[in-house]
Amino acid sequence: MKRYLVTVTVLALASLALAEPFVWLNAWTTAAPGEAVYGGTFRDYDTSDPRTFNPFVSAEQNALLDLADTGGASLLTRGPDSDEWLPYAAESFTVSEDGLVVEVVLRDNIKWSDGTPVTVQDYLFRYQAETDPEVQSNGFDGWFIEDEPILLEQVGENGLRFTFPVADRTAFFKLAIHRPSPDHILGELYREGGAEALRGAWGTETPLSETVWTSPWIPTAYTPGERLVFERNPTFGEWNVDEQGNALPYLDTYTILLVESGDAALNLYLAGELDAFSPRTLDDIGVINVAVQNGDIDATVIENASPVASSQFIVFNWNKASDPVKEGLFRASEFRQAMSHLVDREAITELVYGGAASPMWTSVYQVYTFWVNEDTAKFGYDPEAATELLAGLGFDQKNADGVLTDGEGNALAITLATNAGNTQREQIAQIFADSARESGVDVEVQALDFNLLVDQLLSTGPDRPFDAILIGLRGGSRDWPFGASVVPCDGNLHMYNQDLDAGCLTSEEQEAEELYVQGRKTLDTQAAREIGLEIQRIEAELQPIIYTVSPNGHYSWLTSLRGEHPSEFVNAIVGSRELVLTFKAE
Amino acid sequence: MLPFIIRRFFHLIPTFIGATLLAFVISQLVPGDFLTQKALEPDVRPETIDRLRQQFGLDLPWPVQYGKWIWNIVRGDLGMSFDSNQPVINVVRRPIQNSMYLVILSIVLLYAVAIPLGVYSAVRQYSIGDQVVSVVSYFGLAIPNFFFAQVLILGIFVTRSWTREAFGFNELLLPVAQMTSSNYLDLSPLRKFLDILWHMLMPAFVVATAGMAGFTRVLRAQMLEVLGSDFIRTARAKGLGHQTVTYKHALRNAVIPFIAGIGGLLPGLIGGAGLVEVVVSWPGITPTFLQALSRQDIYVVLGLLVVSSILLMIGNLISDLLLAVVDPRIRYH
Amino acid sequence: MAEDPSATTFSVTDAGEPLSQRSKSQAQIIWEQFRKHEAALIGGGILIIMYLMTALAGFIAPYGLNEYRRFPVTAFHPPSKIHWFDPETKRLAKPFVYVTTAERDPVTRQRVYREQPQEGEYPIRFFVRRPEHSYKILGLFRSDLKLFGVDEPARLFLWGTNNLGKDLFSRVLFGGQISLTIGLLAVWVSLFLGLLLGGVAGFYGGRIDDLIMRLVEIFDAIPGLFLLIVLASLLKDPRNPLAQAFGLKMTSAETFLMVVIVLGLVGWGGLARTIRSLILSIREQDYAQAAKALGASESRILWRHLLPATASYVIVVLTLAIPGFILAETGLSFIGLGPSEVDSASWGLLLRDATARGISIQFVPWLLLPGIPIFLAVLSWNLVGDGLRDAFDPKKRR
Repeated sequence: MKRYLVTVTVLALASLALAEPFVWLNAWTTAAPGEAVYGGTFRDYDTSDPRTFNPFVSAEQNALLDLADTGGASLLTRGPDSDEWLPYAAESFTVSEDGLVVEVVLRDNIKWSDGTPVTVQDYLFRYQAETDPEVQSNGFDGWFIEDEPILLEQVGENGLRFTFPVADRTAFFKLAIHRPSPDHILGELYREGGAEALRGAWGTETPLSETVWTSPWIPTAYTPGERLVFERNPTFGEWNVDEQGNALPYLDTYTILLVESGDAALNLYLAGELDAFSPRTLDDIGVINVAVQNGDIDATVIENASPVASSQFIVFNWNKASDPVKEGLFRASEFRQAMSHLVDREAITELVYGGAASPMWTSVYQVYTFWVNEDTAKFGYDPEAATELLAGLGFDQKNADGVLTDGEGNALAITLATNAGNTQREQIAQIFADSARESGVDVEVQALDFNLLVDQLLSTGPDRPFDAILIGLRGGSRDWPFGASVVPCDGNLHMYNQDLDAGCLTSEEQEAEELYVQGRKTLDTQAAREIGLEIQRIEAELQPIIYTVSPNGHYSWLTSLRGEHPSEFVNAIVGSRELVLTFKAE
Repeated sequence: MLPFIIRRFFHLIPTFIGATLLAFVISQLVPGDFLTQKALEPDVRPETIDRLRQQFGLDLPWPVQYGKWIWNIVRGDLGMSFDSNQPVINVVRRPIQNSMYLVILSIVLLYAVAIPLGVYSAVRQYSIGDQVVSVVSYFGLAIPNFFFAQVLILGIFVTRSWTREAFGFNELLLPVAQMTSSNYLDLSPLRKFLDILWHMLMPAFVVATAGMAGFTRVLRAQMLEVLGSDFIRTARAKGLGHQTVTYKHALRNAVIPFIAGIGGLLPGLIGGAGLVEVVVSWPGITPTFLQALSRQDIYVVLGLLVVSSILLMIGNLISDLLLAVVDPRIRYH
Repeated sequence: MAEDPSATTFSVTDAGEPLSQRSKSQAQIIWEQFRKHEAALIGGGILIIMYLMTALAGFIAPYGLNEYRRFPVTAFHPPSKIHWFDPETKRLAKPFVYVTTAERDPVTRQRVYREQPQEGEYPIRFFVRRPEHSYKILGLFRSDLKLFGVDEPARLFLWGTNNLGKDLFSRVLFGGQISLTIGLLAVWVSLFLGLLLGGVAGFYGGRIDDLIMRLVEIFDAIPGLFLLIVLASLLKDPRNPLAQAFGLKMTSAETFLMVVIVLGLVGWGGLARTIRSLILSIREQDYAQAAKALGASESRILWRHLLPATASYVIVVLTLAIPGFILAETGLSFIGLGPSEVDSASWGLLLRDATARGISIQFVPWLLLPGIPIFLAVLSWNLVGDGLRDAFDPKKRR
């Protein structure tokens, strides 16, 4: 937290004069100072339609809200080059000694796209609406820490005070991304018609001209299944400039084509109808390379920019009261270490991901380089080590079918379930089953309907209906990357052990849970990181979840689209460019 | 006739209830609901899931859910989409419209080509031409639609390489995805219309080829049947011209099953172009439907179902009536 | 096996005659007529070959269904180049292949396989034994004899490999076992329901007609795609009542069976409707009226006069239905609801491997090859059906 304060003070000093705009740094783009030109359209794509324009009721993020709401006047922001928070809509902020109270002062030059000034009231209204259970906002959960609410109130004319019930890292994130909602429109509606009226506002049938935003571009046209059009928001440039003092953004228009699939997007990209495309595999890159070579399109490709924040893993069920032999086995960390030894991550990378994936060893995605513990135990592909570990558990003979058995004649046979229709998972499961069979572990792969699989995974009690499941998770935050629901023993994604009455079964689980709780309360980033590394060390030894690989992300764009990040910070967290600094070369 | 129509009308209500109930029950039997997948998101608390489940009424027993839903239907309300938090009608209206464009064009293509081909095949039975027509029309039938569309897309890209090398023409011959060009909004109304038509050609062609074989062969079979029948022989014996016999008498009788089938085209319209829409990224019914199904956004699924059942029932009624008109042997009592 | 569907329809063609006296000669007449239909004969021949080859898949396929090598990789190996000439003498030699090694192309980012002549020639050998890869023919005879193969570490891929390096040719043969039977089995489910309900509805009319047609309407009012998807995901769930009752665990065989039932359940409504309207029309015709006047019982009229009279139309519909089911399976597989991929393969699943690659199929065009057997099977079934229909029809005899 100290580091925040230093940065904040420096920047606050630099912007003493009132109505000083936020400056987007030259270092964030490859364009030379003054090179950027105004005008032009960025034709992007998305594979799902916005389901609402209402920032409160959206069940999930969508392209429109990502740009128009999330891209608006959040209190703090981060550049692509560092994890430091920069004051954005806030002009400055101060944190109390104990970290429980944060006060921010707002800029006075931010306006809604209709020209109405953005005030403290807009931030308060959003807080009020999000914390109203009747509104049923997605932001609701974030305003509570250990079931105690975060308080937000006005201080002075232009200030806000956040009071946290306990010190908590995740809470600071909530503050940083807190954004205004138009009090003069939605607030009015809420006060007149209550939560019901607010929930009903701004559906996709609402004329977009009736909506207001603070973002660089504002949505002006939406055709379901076809496109979303955003036009420059003139008020944005009043408080956002580049280092030369030019009002931002450069682009006049930002269009999102709504396509059915990545395949369709690639086809459009090759036809020159899109300005950028995120290749999903090396195959996509090959297709683009060939098109570039043929002169079909003039494009830039960044291959293997970084692993993406997603994982494929195997989890064994610790709650199998009906089969004590298996239960004992699945609960033994030596067994799970042996299983990790049988995961041929190299073969998975080569065969399933065509070479574009990175092995994964702990719950922290490889792309979060700051948080990941590189020095944990790694139980890589090593059938001999696996055989030894299994022998240590008593499985030292093979029966007539070549399957390992223990002294009592129990054969080592496991059913590994994964979701039908997910080709990658089915293949990872098969590669694992094949290498396991070579070592005498009979793994039967079962492809189940996704919902059924999730049902099994999330089932609770002392006897749960599966042996092992191969599944994946996505997402997680850039900051304190330990899932609230995964590490604590009562978390609903504490997938290996869901016997709620029994609680934690091993001391390691207990320890990880305690560390997790402690880590959340540790505001100092470096100290929190140390705790995170320790949790990963425990995880790596315990192997409650056997991670396989995380696929790599790639980027590509037509060369006429400029203003991308310098190559050292093109990765799956910050992407390939700041949209605001993007421009179209003539 | 009139009592029949009245009876059929009263028929519609129980059929409608039966269909929606069946669909509802089947979808209830499928494990999980809209919120199951949400539970996998690491940042969502279980309490939130419970709260949403209550809000959506997913915690109620299914007969109650169904009862509430059907009561809303009676009042003309298709319910709310969980996924988008807005009335189902808003979610489904445009996809239905877009699919209809595609299907209408493909039917026009189909009739324009298949009727002459079917007649030709029948009149020249076993000729080389007949064989060629069969093989060509089978071609469309024997290739899965989505696969055919995919192959055509590849073909369009490959053609670009050729035309570039041969004529320096570096453009795609036909669009490969979407319903409109990326600069669609800047076009004049006429150009907009042409732009959509341009984008429809390839998928409509694919859909039409699939129906082609079935249509021609059944028409050919019917034509042969009719041409071999006594009254045609009589007509011929009376010295009527070949054209008159073929088109005025034979074709008119041969199309009876097709007239009966016209009613079936209505729900075909809502069925859309199927998986082809997915391949060419057409914003039609099938993608909407598949997405709603995979997200278990049950009322969107049922909403599409309601619209299509209404069209189907109207269609069937029309079919039955038309059949009675064109074929006096059929009586309803 | 290929001629199965026609076998029963032979017997119901001619209205009213005792089957025992006439059926043989009737079959002969039809066979004579059928023989004149060249396209149908070709189609029938293709089908017989296809069914035989897939039945003998274990023997003909050089590799197992799920056989692949993790090292050295053979992923996306193009069809093996078979050399017919000795490199030194330039003379015709026993056909052989070379060992290949993979490297990644800098532009296309694909693996390219280069032949390694220095590691020697690997002749294609016939009737080889692969004791570690034994198989069963028709689930009865165990054997390890393979029609052909090459020695390790060389591999012979006639149609190339998929992304794991599994031999596509072998997979197509094994996949045929599923895809070719799926239509045959599903059509019986549909035929049974369609004939029974359509025939009864058309004949009896009135209340029964109303009831049955309402049932058809209810089924019809639900879009086919919805029924397919929902039934598929329901029936493939081991917790469904049927699975509970029979203790099914949804192995690939049971999943396959469920897909058959799903397809059959979705297909019967149209058939019932067609048969009913035909019967409505025929019922008024003279011979049915005459039979009625002569005091024939209702069921006799139905089974002996009316249903046989619909046979020609039913056959047209059925011949369209079998290939229709084969196609429907590819559609189901396309959206991930087909037969289980874990230890079986169907042509639809193989086709999905191709369509899932989108435009990058240009690098691995051999993945499109499974389209050929699908095309041939669907086409041949149609040709055979066409020939049968013409053969049945006395008016079209020549």
